[in-house]
Amino acid sequence: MLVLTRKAGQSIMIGDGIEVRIVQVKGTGDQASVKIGVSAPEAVRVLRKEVFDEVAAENRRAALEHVGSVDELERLAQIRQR
Amino acid sequence: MRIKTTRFSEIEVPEDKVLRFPQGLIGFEEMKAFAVISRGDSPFVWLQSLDDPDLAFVVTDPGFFVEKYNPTIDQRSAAHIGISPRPSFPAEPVCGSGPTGSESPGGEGVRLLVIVTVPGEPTDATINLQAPIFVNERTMLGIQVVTMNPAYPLKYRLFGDGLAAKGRDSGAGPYP
Repeated sequence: MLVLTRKAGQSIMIGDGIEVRIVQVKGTGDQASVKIGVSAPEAVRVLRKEVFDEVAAENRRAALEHVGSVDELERLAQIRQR
Repeated sequence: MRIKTTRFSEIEVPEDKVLRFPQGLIGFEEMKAFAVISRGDSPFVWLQSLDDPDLAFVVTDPGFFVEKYNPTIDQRSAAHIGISPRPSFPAEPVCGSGPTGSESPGGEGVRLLVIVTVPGEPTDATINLQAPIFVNERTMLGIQVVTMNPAYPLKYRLFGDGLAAKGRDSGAGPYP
């Protein structure tokens, strides 16, 4: 991984369309956090990594459906509506 | 166009039933085109990848299962598929029959879908309310967005109202 040192207010460019700016740095030790601003084209999805990982994992689980399970879902949905 | 699929063998898909995700789905960034396969008045619809015969998702209109589900879409994502950032959704489902609602106020041309996960038993099926799919129906462009509203979980049980338990405890099969 490329590691760069930046100060608040400074940025890095990724390609020529994505800017990552350090907006604020606060706290020290375990309490330290940075506020980051991202400017990117609309086509680029920007998400917190843990959120991305969770949703990607759920999508992968969802991708395993069998045709048969949808038949069951439809029956259950009909029961539920009654 | 004709496409090959694992689940449905080779099928004919009309051009207007092709849903395109310019960003792909989350974790499936390279999968940008899906055939929308609906069956009769079923609330469940298949999204079959045009690129990978093995890849298909089951989606549904959340209006069938959840009241007051009104996720927001951020400005960038909305602009990306050419819709207004503040659509408001009718309770009325857009596919099949179901509870009929009022006229669609503000949400014209925008369709909301959620992905269904079946972890094993269909009675345990969940829908992903945290990361819904917004579709511009005019252009058939879609995007999966992540809502940060804690009321909208990654796994919302479709049949959480005792139906699942009833099925399991009856001993005489899952359906009463």
